[in-house]
Amino acid sequence: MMTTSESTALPRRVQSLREIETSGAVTAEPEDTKSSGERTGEPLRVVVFRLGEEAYAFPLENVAEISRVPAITPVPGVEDFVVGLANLRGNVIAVLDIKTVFGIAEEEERPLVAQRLLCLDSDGVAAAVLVDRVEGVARVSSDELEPPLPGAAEALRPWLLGQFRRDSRLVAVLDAGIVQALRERLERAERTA
Amino acid sequence: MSNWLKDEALLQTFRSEVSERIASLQSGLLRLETSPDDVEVINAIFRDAHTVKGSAKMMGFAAIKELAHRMEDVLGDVKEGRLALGPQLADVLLQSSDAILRLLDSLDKPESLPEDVAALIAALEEARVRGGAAPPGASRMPTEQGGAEQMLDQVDDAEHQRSASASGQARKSVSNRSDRPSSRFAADNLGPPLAVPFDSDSGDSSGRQTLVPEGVTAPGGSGEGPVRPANSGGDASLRGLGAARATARRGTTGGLRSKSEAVYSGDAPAGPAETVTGGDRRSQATPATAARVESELGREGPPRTEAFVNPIGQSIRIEASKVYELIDQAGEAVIGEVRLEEIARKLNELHRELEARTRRIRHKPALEGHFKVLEDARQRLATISAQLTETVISQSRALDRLQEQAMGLAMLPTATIFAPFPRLVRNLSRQLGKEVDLVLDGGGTELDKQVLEQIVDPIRHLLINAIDHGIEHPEERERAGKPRRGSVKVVARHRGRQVVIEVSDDGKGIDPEKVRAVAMRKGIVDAADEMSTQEILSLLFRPGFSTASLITDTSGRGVGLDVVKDAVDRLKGTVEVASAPGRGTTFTITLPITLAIVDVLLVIAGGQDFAVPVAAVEEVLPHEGQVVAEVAGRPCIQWRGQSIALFDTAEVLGVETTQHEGPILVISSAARRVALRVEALVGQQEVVIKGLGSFLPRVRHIVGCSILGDGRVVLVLDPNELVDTARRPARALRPPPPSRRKLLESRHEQAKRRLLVVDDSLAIREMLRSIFEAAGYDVALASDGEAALQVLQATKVDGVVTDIEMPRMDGFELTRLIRARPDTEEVPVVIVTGLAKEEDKRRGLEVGANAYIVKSAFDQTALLDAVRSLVG
Repeated sequence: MMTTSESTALPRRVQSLREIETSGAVTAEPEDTKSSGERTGEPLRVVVFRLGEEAYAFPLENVAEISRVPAITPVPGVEDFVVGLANLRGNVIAVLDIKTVFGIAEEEERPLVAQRLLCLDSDGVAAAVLVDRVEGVARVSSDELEPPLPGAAEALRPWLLGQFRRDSRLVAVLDAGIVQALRERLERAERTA
Repeated sequence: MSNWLKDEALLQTFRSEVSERIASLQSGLLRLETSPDDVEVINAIFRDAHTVKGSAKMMGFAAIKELAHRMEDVLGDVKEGRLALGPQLADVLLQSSDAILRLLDSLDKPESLPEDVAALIAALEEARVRGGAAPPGASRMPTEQGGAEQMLDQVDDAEHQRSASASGQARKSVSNRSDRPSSRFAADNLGPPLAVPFDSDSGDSSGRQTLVPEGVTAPGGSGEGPVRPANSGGDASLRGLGAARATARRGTTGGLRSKSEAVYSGDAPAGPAETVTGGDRRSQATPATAARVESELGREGPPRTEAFVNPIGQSIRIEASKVYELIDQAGEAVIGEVRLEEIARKLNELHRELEARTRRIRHKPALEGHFKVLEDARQRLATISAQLTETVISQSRALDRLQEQAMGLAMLPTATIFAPFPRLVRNLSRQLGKEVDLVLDGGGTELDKQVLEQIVDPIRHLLINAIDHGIEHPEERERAGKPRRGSVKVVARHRGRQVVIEVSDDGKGIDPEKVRAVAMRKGIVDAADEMSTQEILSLLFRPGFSTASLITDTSGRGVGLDVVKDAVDRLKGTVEVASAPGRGTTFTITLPITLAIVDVLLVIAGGQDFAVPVAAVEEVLPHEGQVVAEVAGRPCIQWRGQSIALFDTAEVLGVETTQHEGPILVISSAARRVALRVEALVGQQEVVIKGLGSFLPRVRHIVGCSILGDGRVVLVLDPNELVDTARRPARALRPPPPSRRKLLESRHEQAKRRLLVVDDSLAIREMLRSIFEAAGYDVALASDGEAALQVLQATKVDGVVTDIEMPRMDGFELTRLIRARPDTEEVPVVIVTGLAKEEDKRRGLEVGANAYIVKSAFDQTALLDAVRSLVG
């Protein structure tokens, strides 16, 4: 279990997941009913993928599409984590490198052709993140979802919904809200520029 | 009502219907100013008000309903000749219709009757009282039916019924008009009840309290409106809410319970007062009704030369976003088709290659078997290739048409944005004491809706400027030998694939020397800078630049032409100004017809493809033969006798350039030019411009992107921002040249600007002192005009901020004397005063004040902005 000081620093979403986990029951969370798993106690369905050697996942409900990496056009003057813009069947979408955001060091960079794009949609803001490999969809019951480890990397912590084990490996579940947060970060940068 | 509120589609329909009706009503009202007897117009606007009322009632928006209802009543009186529609009444009606539009914007907010709406309702009622030819003794009736209906609505709400239906019935019953169908729709469609007064009954009015259920107050506070004695009108819902509260406040109980109950149950009225008035009404109703029917059938009055047509005809309401989606899809289809063309071409090439090879083996007997097989395949390939080419060509034509028509859907005549201008000009010129004619021309010129929407404000801005700063006062015009009435024109016309909108006036024009002087004072230009008149005038578009001799409420803080330029820039258009001192000013806005398709040059910069809108490229120069000379440390090229600073495009974009050789684009924006070198020129083509997706916010230097034939995304550069960045000294890409640096440094070291604050109130003096000191000024104080003159004699100040009313010498006199003395005649004077009268403002101008800020509208920022723009 987590200490109190850590739990207060967590975003609301994480707390509500924890409530499911600890009580097994559903707490009314009027502002936070996006995930059906949270609301009904059904298992959370997530898309599991790899960044380097680590396994991560986003809730399936936020993943609009998984695709190969098309040609990416770099955008000058924006922050490093924006790889550029890509055309996905006529839709222009920003491609993000969340490894840069999380500070995940790369020993040997995978060629883009070997990577995949995970298109996320978080409250109408769409962006695609580059991942090294997509492993599939997993169902995570509320019992299985553990609270985030206190030792998680600083940059990662605000976006950790929790983690679960699959095949003796830890999978960190991320909050797709990171897309919104990154967008706000760019807006702030644009304003101050 | 909450159910309705949730239904977005229904709300949307309601909004668009009401705004269309209000637009029609407003244009009708303005038209009546010139032809007050146009029955057709009166009927049309009466119907508009009526429809708005009906819809609002059905949707349960009480405030809109109330207001529309009063408007309908007034217009009904006008229609039937009981009330003359003078300019004052027209004003009230226009204001009321504006208020409805405002209410329309806040439908989702908890319903209440805003104060201004209540005041308008009162004004409308008063107009009927004063102007109406109501029989004597009839106009002081407290609003009893209103109270009844109010209760009714409450009870009704409690029963979860539509209040509309209840009030429809109530009206029917109280007005005792048995000839009305009982359906609420039919009742509404019949128009307003006849506005025939009936006698008041004091017992009646005190008696209704009994029916107000305990604990029930007026819903949502809609009873805030002042209670006015209503003179006439049988329609209970007309003035119900305010009256209900008033009745409740009176708190008496009385004996008309039975009557009220009768009302409630929708039966024929039982109270004696009702019966009597009902009888009265019927007796008077017949001729009036007949008149209305006749007029509504259009039999009244001579045929109009120009029919007044409501802008609602055979149209389908489609949400704009759907149309733009369609345009987008059509654009994508066209792009896909280009790719298909490319494939067909490649197939054809392949065929030719195969043909050449088969021909070579044709006469080799050893390969005869192979030849036959290959020749057979070649012929089939030839057929397929030809078919494909043919199909692609016909598809391409069809798609082009599709795209064109899709774009046509989003095109609207400019007249749609011109509509509010007559009213704006009328109000503003009246407010400013000027006489101005407005000429609108080319209203049929079509522009993309998105372009139109974004250009309204800039045009309005220019129009306000033209009237406020361009057109002189009638006396001044006469003195200058001009007609008293000034003229302002807004003209739209096509020019190729662009639309040109001109806003011109025949006012006093802009003096380039004055502009230059202000620019110098602000350090924007050097005295030594050589500038053409055109270049000087284009300084007006710089942020924060104002040469208005008087900063007034009308134009806000200064003129703000930079705002106009920003908006036009965003639309990838241009704005230019030309002016002849004494004869007038013309602003010319050039816009692309649509935002969707732009002609671009594809270039390579920093090793990457970019698109540059052709409209901004004045010329493409080859790399060879350009004389590049260093001017003040910056490479420049000579172009048409001008020296233009040269930059690498990559350098401006902040990326690494791959080579310092390549073609040079001369880019212009608002009379500023830069030369941008690119690494290579790829070609020119039309592209569909898209946004950068939902994730990326505005990115500097990029207006959007486009998908090329091969599916890649190419970024479209923003010429204006490129020029901005290149020309901005603060973000100099290389160390700023010494002369420029000196200029920048000297400004930093500049002594503090010194202001003299003159006010007889110690508190205000001290407040102003702290405001200005916080803003970095040095402040001297004086308690009246005479004291101020002494300060001015002793020290030099950079600006004076003065009150008007002061002992010994007032602000007008002080300003006059400051202007009269040679050593102070140039010192800017800002008048801060409680006098908001136009003649005071004019007097301020006459004595030579530069800005006039009314204390009631006084806020620190406005004052500081005014002072900064004048003093620096």
